[in-house]
Amino acid sequence: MWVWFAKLGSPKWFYELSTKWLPWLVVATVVVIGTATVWALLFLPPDYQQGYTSRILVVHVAVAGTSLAFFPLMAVAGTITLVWKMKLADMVAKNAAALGAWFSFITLATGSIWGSVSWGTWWEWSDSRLVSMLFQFFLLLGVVSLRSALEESDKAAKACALLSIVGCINVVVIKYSVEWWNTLHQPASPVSIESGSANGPEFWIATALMILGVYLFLSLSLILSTRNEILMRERRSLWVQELMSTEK
Amino acid sequence: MDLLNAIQFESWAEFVDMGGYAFNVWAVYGLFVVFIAVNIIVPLQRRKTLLRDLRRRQNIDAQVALNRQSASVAGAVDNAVNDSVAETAKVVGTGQNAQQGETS
Amino acid sequence: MKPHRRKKLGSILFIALGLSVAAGLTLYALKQNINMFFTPSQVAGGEVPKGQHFRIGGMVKDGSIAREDDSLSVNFVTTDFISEVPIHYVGILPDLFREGQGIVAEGVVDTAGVFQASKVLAKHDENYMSPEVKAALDAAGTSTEGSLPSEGYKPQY
Repeated sequence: MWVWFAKLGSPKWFYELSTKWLPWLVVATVVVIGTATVWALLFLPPDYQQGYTSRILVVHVAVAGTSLAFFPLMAVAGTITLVWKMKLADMVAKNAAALGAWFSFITLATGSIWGSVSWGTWWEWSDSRLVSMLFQFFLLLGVVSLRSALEESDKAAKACALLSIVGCINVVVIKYSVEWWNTLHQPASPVSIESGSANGPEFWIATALMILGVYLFLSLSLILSTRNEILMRERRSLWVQELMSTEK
Repeated sequence: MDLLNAIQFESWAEFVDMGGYAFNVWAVYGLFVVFIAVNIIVPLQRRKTLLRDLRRRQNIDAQVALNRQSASVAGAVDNAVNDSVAETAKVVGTGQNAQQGETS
Repeated sequence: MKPHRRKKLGSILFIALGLSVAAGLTLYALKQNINMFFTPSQVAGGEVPKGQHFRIGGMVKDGSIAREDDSLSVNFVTTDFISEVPIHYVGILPDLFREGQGIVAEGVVDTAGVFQASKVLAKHDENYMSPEVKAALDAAGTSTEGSLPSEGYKPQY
């Protein structure tokens, strides 16, 4: 089992495997996001209250839900870095932070655009869901700048790993903020595909598809930037040198 | 066709209007497209420049190794021990500099 | 697992646990401050000091909206199905403001006991459905709107 674990952490192994799987991931991402977008924009019936602004929520819910995956992902990678000193884990964590900041920003922006018409406000400082999501955005920017501030990469990796583990607390706060406190933000929707239940099936199929698509996109973007990181950090190793002379 | 009937709009104008929420809906979907495009294009662009830089570095290293080789051969032939030692030290020095430059 | 690794993993878990407990206690202590609004019951129960600027959240009572013809002035009643608070507001209301829906209003209670709102925000509930589904639910009598406080308004505890 430990042999397998060590192999998983080998940058070379990851690079070669991802080369094989990348085309399929690209196809899957394009197909799923494309289908979900067309469905949402053309076929999704208007909400009985909000009209077509419910289409905004398909994107918002998918990106927001996915953005909560970053701190747990970075915390797991960070723990592996701290305990087993696996090189690959830190490369993933480093690139995840910047991507996570993007996810958080898009969550805030799309939510604001929806809120401006539905709630009648772009932003409410008193809403704990909104503020905790903003906090996640700043935390991720913090991880990114911590990494660039500490030049010694080993020290930077350790500091970022610790911050990532601590940041997971905020994810729990974001998730349960709408249940623990009263907020302007609505609580999470009950997922239901049965028609005749409180949630119409149309909205949830579109959203579920979009969530899947956004997760595929996350993996794609993260794998692309991790591959760059591998080439950069392993540039002196024999396999990268050989790769340079063969691959275009 | 069923699929066409399921489309919520009768006309192109109606589709663009989004029931009066054109600005909000299209702003969000526009943002979404930019978000995806940037986070795919930037890593691809970075890969391009990275590969170019690494190749260039590889060529420089190969050149340095070649110089080092020819310098030591020349030294042996001339049998000018002092000169060759000085020369080799210089070449090795530049080689090390190149390597240090790489790490920064 | 090697002993030094186990030790390291243990200390990481310990730090994470400690911080979680600390965060949990802090948030618990701040509970009331983090809540966005008071409910009509809390207002009726005198939990809000007199003359203070605060937010109130509840449902717009069915049939309570009274608009004035010549101005943007509107009166309505907000309820949590236990207590009610009348609200007066002058201004443009958000798109989702309607009877039976949740709102959050910001302002003060005047001497007559009317909440003078300077801002009214509409809450949306967590249910999204098409008008057809909504109509079918209403016909079947299974709609939750207006009958349960779960829609657009969450009871305090």
